[in-house]
Amino acid sequence: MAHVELKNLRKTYGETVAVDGVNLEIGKGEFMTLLGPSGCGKTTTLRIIAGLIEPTDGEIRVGGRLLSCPGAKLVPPEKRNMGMVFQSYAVWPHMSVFENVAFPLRNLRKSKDEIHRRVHAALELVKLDGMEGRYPSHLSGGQQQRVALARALAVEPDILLFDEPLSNLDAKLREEMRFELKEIQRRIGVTSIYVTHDQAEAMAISDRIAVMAQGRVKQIGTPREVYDSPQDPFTAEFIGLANFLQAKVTGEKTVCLSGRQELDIDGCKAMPTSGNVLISIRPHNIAINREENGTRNELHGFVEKGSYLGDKVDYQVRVGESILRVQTPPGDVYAEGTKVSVRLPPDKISVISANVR
Amino acid sequence: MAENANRTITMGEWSNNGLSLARRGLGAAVLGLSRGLPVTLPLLILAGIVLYPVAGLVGSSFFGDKGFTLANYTQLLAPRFLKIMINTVTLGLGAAVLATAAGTIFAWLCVCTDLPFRKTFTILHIAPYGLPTIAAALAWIFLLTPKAGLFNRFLMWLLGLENAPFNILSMPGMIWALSTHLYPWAFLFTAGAFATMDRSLEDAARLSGASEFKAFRKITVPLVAPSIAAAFILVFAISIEQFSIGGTIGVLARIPILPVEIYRSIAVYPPDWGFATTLSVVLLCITSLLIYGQNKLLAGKSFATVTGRETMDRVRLGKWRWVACAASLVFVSVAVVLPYVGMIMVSLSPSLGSELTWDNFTFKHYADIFTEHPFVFRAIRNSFLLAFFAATFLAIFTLAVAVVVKRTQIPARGLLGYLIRWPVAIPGSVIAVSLLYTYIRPPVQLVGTIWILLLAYLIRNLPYAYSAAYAGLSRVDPALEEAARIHSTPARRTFFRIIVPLTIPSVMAGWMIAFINSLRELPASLLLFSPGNETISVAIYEMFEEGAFQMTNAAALMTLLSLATLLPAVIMKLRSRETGS
Repeated sequence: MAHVELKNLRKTYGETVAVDGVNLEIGKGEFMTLLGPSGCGKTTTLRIIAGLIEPTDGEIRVGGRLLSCPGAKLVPPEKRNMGMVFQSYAVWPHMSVFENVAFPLRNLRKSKDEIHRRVHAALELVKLDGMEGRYPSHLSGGQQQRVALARALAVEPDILLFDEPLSNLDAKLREEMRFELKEIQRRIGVTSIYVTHDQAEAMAISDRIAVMAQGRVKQIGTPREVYDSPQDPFTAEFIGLANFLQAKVTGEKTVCLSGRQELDIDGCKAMPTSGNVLISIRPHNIAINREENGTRNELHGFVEKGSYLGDKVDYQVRVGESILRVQTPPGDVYAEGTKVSVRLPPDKISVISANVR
Repeated sequence: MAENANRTITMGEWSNNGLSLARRGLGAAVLGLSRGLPVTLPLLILAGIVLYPVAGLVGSSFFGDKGFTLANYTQLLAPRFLKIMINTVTLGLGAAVLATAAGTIFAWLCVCTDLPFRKTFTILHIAPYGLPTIAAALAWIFLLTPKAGLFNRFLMWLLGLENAPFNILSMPGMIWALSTHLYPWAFLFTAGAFATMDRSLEDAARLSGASEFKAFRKITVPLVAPSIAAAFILVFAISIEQFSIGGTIGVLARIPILPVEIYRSIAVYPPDWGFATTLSVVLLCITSLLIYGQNKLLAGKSFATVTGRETMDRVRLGKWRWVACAASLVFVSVAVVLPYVGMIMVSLSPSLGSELTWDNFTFKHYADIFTEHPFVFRAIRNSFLLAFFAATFLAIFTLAVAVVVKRTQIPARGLLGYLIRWPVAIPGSVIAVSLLYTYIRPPVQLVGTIWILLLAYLIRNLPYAYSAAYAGLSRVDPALEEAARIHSTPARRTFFRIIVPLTIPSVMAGWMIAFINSLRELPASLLLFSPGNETISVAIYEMFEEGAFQMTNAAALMTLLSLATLLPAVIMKLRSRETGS
């Protein structure tokens, strides 16, 4: 059974719908990321789970315990046994590092010895041992973030919540902290829900990703699944780069583009039997050649623009009406206007939405 | 039998359902109430102490001995009332124009230019805020009455004049006294606007080819204009509701104005309730409209995100630098320092009008106020106790309300926010009349007790304490409280352990404002005090009414009161300007 269960979660502010029927199941010890652009409802969802926002409708269960359902009194945040790391760190400026981490434990009326033991263990885990007496104003942003993490870990929460915890750190520190967070989470095995708009961060850190847009969950899957087989245009475009082409289903494993070329598609689970579809392919999965090889899935066009980026070359290739974005390792660089052929490998094409017009 | 059993079960189920339905309904009702409690409780308190008396006042203005009547309002057509209105508006407009002009010019000089000694000037420009209005009024009477006034006599001696150059006992005199007392309000308002204005907007104009003067005219002025207009309205509103100038200079000069006439129609026997309540409603309507307009002007303007501008490029005044400095010096000497000097000189003179020399100055008046007037000691104790308790209650109550309004989603919290700010638009004399009218008879008879004064001070200072608490809370990241909640801290413990320590500087500032305002409050106190329950400002006004021979004593008491209010007021205003609230 899932450890965390969200059932048809909704939150509206007057006419505005912030969260529009979110269903989510998260297993025990799993690291789940809510990924989406700003305003997609991911932070609202997280804060509803925390009990900081009252949902308009829907149920929340953690370990079988009902935390929130319509008509019943909401379980207040302090009774949910969760830990949370905030974007702004939210380290209390009038308390020392020790006091910050000890405060939640004092609320739980732990004995003095246990508080000491747990605070030191938590600070050691985030590599802040020896800093107990410092005040937040004397700490760097990264250190404050570690205090916030230690504070959330000290109570041994059922669930750990992260609200874009790394977005205020500089780029290099951010990447280090990613791995460290993941490492700590794996070591203590706490169920974690992580909110971010940074797809690379989500890919690096998560067991599974829930892609959100306009208050809804668009797709749930492992980082690999959402990247390799996006199920809708939004997911395909939000995570990485994607080319979209309109096509018509002509067979069990073939589609026909608007320019009448046939394409083979291999290994696509969601292939409809007929009708119009949208297919997508990642720029780096397209092969580009000067001469025609005459193989199947080959399209012809010319280079409209090419940019040399160091580790790759980024082309825009005009094929009939459409422009395909192609990224290749730097080898031959084709000048603008060069006639080229591009090959779309059948197993790299995803059919992402059926019955488009 | 079987059928029967079946029926019973259905009945049982039905009644069970009904019961659980009823239980759920009741539960929902209790839940709704208990969730709404943080809003409904303060709403009820405010409705009880503010809305109820004022509503009673408005209602009573429509009733005479024979039930509903408009007679009270028809007497507003009389020439007597027209004269009062003309006086009141003339005084308000005159003071607002002068105070806003002076405040804006000096704020610009102090905030935006390389004026020499601008920090010292800033403190001096704020200083009149710390002088109780009654003290300012009497000080100007000491200085500028024809013939007897100290400054008039000094100028006559200096320039060899036959007649006194100035007469404070006139409409221009009242406007002068009021505008020099109120221009700090305009100064603080516009200084805030100048300081928060994004300097890059001016730079962009300069880069687009505008001269310095054109950038100032086309960019700076329009950006600051709403604040200047808001300052103008505020000074106008304070001018038409203030009592201290009209009740002293205005009385001596026989220039009646609205708040003083309200006081006089009740202070006489028998009191003319109809006239007093009607004038109060008129005054209340005017000030409410003004404050509403001022809020509209400032809507959406946030002073909360101010960063320091110490490093900004200041406008170079060039050769005008020292001219501006000299002009500031003259203005500050005459408008700010002179009243204090006059007041202190009178308090040290053997008697009013006698020549003060190094040989005859005396501290005896400082002793006399306690020996000749046994109630002065009592008044000081009353004032400090009242101010202390009013400020303390307000600090806690307004912080709690600010938390509810700013941090919860409970419906009607907006209404709560409006109601708590509303008294800023209620003149002191109007509060006094409504409290008198409401609490003079059972069920709640407070007239004649000290509680009615406490009530008046609470009402008058609600908006100021609330603004301070709200501003303080605005600077606290909500995540700090959320972090406490999610880490197992109950709501009440979060309030005392997280919110209170983090907002304490602002709450203390709010406490100070309420304390100072209560200490020097006159218009409401004058109508509400009773023997035994005098306050300091009431004692000063009584001395004024007793006549010239008491003026030296009044000056001594005023000096003491000013000492208690000046320093905290200036420190607090400087601080709040720095932190941008």
